[in-house]
Amino acid sequence: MRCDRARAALAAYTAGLLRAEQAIRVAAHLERCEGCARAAAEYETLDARLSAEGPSSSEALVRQVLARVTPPSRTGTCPRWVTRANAAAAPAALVVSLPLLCMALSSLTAPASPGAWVVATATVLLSGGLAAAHLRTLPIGLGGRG
Amino acid sequence: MDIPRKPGPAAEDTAASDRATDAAWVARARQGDPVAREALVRAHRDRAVSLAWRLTGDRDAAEDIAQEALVRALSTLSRFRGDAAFATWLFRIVVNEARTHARGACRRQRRWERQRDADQARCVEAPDPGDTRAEPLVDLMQLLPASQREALALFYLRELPVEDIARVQGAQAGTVRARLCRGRERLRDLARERGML
Repeated sequence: MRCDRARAALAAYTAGLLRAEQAIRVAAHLERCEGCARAAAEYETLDARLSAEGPSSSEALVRQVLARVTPPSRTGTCPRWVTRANAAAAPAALVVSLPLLCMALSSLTAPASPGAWVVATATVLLSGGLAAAHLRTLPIGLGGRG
Repeated sequence: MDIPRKPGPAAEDTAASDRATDAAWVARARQGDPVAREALVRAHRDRAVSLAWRLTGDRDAAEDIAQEALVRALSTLSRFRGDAAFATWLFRIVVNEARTHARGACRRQRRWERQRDADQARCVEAPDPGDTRAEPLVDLMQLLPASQREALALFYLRELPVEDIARVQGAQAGTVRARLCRGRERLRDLARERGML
């Protein structure tokens, strides 16, 4: 094998990409030719340096990947006991707020004194707040977090 | 002189064993098993980062790319048909993520700033021998055409055969061999010009 043909084959030879009979011919040439052997050694130096271990990954990478692929729980981040207590309190709030609202509306339509106006307005606001608190607990997307 | 490397029977056995183990983890991960998901991430994270580093020459970007690729792989496991090894499929995603990264002008800017900061830091501090960012040949790889760089980056991952590189690149094995040869010749020339060999 001539040097020019051996040199042209060196990149493939040193990468193990030649067929066996071609590789044997190149290897035989390298035994005799110091210049081509030096060129082959340069490829081997490249390979040794580029095959070295790359940077290792951080533990943070594992945590971040797992956090992103873990499906969120159905109740979000709210503890289960809070959800249950909320669900139990909601009907009670509604039961209390509706009669209060009726009483307040009747006071507003026929007020007896300025003090009664204040009491009636406060009652309307309280009733509205209790009703809103109940609506927020309903699973229909009202009142904030979906 | 010895005839250069090719994966031996022992390496092929190991690869087959890894593939079988991965297949079992993939099956469990598809059913939502968090232990299987973590096992897959831990088994492949280093090679994903290593590949992304060779593709970009930037360790910080490599970690970001590997993270995106692992999330994408685990989120789309239903699309993994099992024709190739899970690792090969993941490498393809890493290569795609690296291409996306390279296209992002904003990210390129941040990379340039990080590189500038790192260069300034290197001027005042002795290089850490364990810091693989200091491998100038990986920086030289960035000067190669993308198809050659990708082929070489995959080639230098341990024991990845040409057929698997071809699957990742969506190319014929002969095309990949040509890319590897041209890329290696060009890389050697660049290294010689800069006195690195």
